Amino acid sequence: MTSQREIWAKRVRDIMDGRPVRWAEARNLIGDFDGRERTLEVFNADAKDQRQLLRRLRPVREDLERAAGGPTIIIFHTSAESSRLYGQFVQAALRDEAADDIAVSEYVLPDDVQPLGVDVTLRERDGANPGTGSTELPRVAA
Amino acid sequence: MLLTAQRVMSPVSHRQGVNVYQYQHGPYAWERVPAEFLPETNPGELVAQWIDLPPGGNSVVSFLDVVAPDHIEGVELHQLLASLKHRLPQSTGSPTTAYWDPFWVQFGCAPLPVPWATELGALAGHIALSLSGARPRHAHSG
Repeated sequence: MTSQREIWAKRVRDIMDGRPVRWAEARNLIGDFDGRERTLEVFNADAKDQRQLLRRLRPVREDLERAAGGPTIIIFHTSAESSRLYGQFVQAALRDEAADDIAVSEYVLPDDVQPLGVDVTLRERDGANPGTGSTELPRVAA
Repeated sequence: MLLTAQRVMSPVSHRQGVNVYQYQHGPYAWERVPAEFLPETNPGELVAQWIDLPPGGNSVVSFLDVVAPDHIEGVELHQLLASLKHRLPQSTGSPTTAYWDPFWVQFGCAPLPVPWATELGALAGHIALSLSGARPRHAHSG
């Protein structure tokens, strides 16, 4: 069963435009401070975006803190630091999100859907030989 | 580089799938995608394809095109793909286009039985998983 904390991590991820988010693990935090166990890490959040991202949390902050059991601390990691220090986690989180997005889109197309175009067969470049691959789009007007 | 995902349906068997294509433009860098590298003008050369449903006459019911410099950092590209469903504003016309320097994005979608953002997220997810190697490659050369 998914815990409230996991649900909130995903909700905050969506509020942060799909940036990877996780509850900080105590072993990754230095120093003792109030809210240590209620710290959310947000990755790929560059300095120029952080203020705006924090503002987006305001409408849900009360609910978030109720679910977390008290005031919540948000730690932003820039894109560069996210790659340098947490690359494995960030890549895995983005891959998981992609897999989730694909899973929720498994549906049956109606037979009478109006097509936007028709696909065409293309030729992939032959190894490292430039000029051997197709240079057209994979669709043409219907 | 142009990355394209398109959901296609066979008009005969009604089988459906999402095919992904990767094109390259060459070692160019830019702040904003030059008009000469937009898909309708110059998609680049096809270097890889991930085929669910063999192309050639299938109906295209949705597509996502993403243009980026060939040598963009993988994590930057994957973060953009994860963010699209949250950030791309739905426009009344189809397709929707947007510049997110150094990216350019185009999303087109026929009326489908899923929300617009769900389909956008699914196509972005297919591109992300293809590039990360999580999706098997079935080259279909013409």
